[in-house]
Amino acid sequence: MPTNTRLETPRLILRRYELSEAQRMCDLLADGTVAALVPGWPENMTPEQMQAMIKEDHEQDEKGVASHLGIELKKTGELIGVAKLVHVVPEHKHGGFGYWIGTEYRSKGYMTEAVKAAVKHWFETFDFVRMIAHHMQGNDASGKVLLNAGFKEEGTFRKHVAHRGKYVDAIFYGILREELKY
Amino acid sequence: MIQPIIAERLILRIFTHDDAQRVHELLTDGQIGQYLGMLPDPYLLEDAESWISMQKPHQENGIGFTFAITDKQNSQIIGTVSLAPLNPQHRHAELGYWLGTDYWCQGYATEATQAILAYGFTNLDLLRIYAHHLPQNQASRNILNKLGMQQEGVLRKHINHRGKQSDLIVCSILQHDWQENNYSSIKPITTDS
Ligand SMILES: CC(C)(COP(=O)(O)OP(=O)(O)OC[C@H]1O[C@@H](n2cnc3c(N)ncnc32)[C@H](O)[C@@H]1OP(=O)(O)O)[C@@H](O)C(=O)NCCC(=O)NCCS
Repeated sequence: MPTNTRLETPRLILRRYELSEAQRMCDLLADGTVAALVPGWPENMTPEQMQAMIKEDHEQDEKGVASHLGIELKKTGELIGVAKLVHVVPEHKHGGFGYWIGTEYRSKGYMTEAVKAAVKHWFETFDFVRMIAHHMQGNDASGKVLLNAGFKEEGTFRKHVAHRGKYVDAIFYGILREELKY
Repeated sequence: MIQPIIAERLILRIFTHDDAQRVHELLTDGQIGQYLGMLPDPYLLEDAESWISMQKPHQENGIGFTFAITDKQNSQIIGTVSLAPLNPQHRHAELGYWLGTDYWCQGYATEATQAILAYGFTNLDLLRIYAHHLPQNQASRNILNKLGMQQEGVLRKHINHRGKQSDLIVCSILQHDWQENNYSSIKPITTDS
């Protein structure tokens, strides 16, 4: 899979993120709000750990088993978040993804804009019939992004994820290729 | 070593390499492939062999338990029942099962799945056990209903089944509900220590 993807939307550019952006990512994640909403997300990563993660992301992208896209704000040229296809299942023609954005950039429609562009791109690049995503019960902003991007809610898996000592429901969403209206 | 689970008419035991031939025989007979979403098509003896050889590491790592369903009378394998994949961190597992076509409609699947549910909720202390089925598989759905499973959703066109994209229905039961509803009165007798 080519890792030189570059997608442009009115306000954003989606592109590969670099090792040199490890510190920036740490800063964006420093307030812990992503770790609070995404089960298994490591807390308080050091720039070195972040670099290791970025390297791994690149390796997966090169193998064609994932696609990690940094979200850059055109206005400032800064990285503000990530959209990542991490669950590619070629035999069943579907793929699952996740996303996050720095706290100060939320509720401005950026993730909706990014997810639409990324989903469209992934449908085109991988031979998907369907794409999926899920979030923990209570993460309404995340559900909103998916609905904004044309996804339909397909089910609630009860107590599906362990998170900070609790077992939490997971809400699953899907979109079919023919439902892509953008 | 995982001890056998002893039910009323059945014994559930782990597979050995020698069982591959029998698994292949059961899975290539009749209409069974229509109902199993994830089966390689055609299904080869090597598929059965590699499936069995994967089970041991999964069991050792606690990420999946697969049992042969055997007839107590003659020790003959009649099908499979599994809790795999199993996620120890999230304490959930997928229930899977199939029976050779000759053994359908005799309550064996209900008996075997009830026994493994008890094993999953008591011995393994899982919090959630879920199952998937194809929409046309009413027999499977009846079993899940009998187990007290609830439908949680329909994953649209989620799998490629024999060249066509098919919906997949997801059902589950929680440990708490299983205990409350006396499904737990059906206890497997295991020789686990
Ligand atoms: C989820 C997340 C990516 C959303 O990004 P965003 O750029 O704010 O998304 P958008 O602005 O495109 O859309 C968010 C929508 O949710 C709404 N929203 C925001 N906070 C909300 C809340 N607490 N409750 C309900 N709705 C909320 C916004 O008003 C907006 O709705 P609108 O489109 O009708 O205006 C961001 O909040 C985030 O990074 N959270 C932490 C990580 C995370 O949860 N990732 C997803 C894991 S599944």
